[in-house]
Amino acid sequence: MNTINNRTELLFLFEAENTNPNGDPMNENRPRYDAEDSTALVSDVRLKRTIRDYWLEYKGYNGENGKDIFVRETSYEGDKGEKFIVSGKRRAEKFKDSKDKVLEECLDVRVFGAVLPLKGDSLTFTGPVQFQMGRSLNKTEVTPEQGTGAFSSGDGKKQSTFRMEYKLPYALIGFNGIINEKAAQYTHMTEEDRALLMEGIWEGTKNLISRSKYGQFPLLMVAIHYKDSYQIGSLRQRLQVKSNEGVAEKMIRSTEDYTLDVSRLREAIREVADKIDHVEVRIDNRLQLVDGDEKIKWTSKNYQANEL
Amino acid sequence: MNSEEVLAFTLRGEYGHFRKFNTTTSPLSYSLPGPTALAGLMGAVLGIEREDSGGKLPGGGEPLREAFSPKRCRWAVQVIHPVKKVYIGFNLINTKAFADYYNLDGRANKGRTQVEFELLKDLAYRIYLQWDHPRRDELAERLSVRRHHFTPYLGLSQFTAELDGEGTEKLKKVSGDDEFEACHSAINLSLLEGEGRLIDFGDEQHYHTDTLPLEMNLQREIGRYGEVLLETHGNPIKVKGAELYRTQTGQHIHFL
Repeated sequence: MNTINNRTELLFLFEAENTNPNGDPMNENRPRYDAEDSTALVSDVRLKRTIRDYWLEYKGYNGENGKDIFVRETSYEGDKGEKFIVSGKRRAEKFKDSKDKVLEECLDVRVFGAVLPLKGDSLTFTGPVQFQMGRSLNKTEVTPEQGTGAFSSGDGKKQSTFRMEYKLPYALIGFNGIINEKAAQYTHMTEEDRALLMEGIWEGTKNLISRSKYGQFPLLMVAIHYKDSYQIGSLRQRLQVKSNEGVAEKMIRSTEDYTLDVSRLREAIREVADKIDHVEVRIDNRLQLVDGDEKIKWTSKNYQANEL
Repeated sequence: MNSEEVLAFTLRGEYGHFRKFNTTTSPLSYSLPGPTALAGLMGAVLGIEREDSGGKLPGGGEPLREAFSPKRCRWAVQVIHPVKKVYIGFNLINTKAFADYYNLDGRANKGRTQVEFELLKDLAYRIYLQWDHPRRDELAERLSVRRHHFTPYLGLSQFTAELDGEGTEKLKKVSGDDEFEACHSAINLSLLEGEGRLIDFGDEQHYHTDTLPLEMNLQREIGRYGEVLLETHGNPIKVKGAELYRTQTGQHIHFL
């Protein structure tokens, strides 16, 4: 497969309904939240984890047949501590001193880059794909939810413990991403890898089925494939959530409660139409798009820049 | 030399982190990008690779710190959006040891550390670069049409940057060391010359100083530090005894 040789800019939106899209380890695992703007945050590594897990679980990148994910949770074969070290070493030895082997086998290193702890040295690959921190387009809030656990806090107790968790009632979260073809020359990211990335973003988000994440669904992906080394930048910041009449922004609970104004995004894309090869759109038809007052309809297909 | 030319461009981002060298465990950020960070950004725009060690480039060519050596360039940094700092916790992983790295579910979470990062939020600066180099016109062109080779970012890779060229500015030296003059960019206090009070501090201004490394050679040795004063809301600072230049748009700038 050929290494990619053109730049792609990504915009990805997903909804999070009554979930915790990204817990903050320094704050009781509450959803990351920007109190200044009343918006929810999701770190770039959370999205990359989603993608990696999808590749691992659904696309066979499990360490067999020369397909692997470098940054992943490896399982133990035994149950004693010493075995864990042996297996860790064995895994490390699989790639030891061969960055070529890592790049050949590990999809995530080709796509996201990595710091490789080789013996006595480490190698740094800047990945071709970078995501910014994700942020909700709507103002939202963190709501506490208390429940009872199934177990007691100790022996001799008659009641089970309480548990506390924090969720977002509804957030439309947007990510900006970029695929840099120049960095791809170093990690050999291919066209096939790019297709797997796009699939992983969309399907991976759909397949998050843990308690805290179930309720997250992809709504829109716009991939602008450029002819040139160019990027528009800040795609998410050009979008605007407009809550429907009678619905306060913080009371948005589903795609029925708002429309998404894409006028500034459209404008930006059309302005540089000559630099764009095509625009790939994937959309869930529940999402209602508008350009000013006019309703518009996008479907999942490839567009020319001025057709959008 | 009374007239000089600089490249002007703006640098924006939602978040940024320009790490202070003197904090090994708590990642604190300078309030503005220093020359070392700015040179790295220009390297990303031009496609100058990162140096592995000892000033050696994997693919050969002129190393970044040589292209932007103090003999060739001077920088001025202007705050154009109030400097805001926020704190976000990140879950870091130990990349030094095999076992920690590969066994991420490692018992007792040995390989993970939660660290709170100090970040700049909604940052925006105007940068003036005086650069005597054969690739200067290429850089100006790349900045003006956003043709960036690698993806420029603000300290950490998820904080991608927006760079917008504003063309070249002709500078005129501001004469008169005896009067207080307004300066719109950050001031290197270590370069001020004169007796007595050299800064006229205003009552409703927001001042901040950072000690920044200003020059770094190929061996990553710091050649010069400077105590840099900025007004964090972007208001001009009244200063005496500083070398100031007036741009065509009427801004007074000072090279760090």
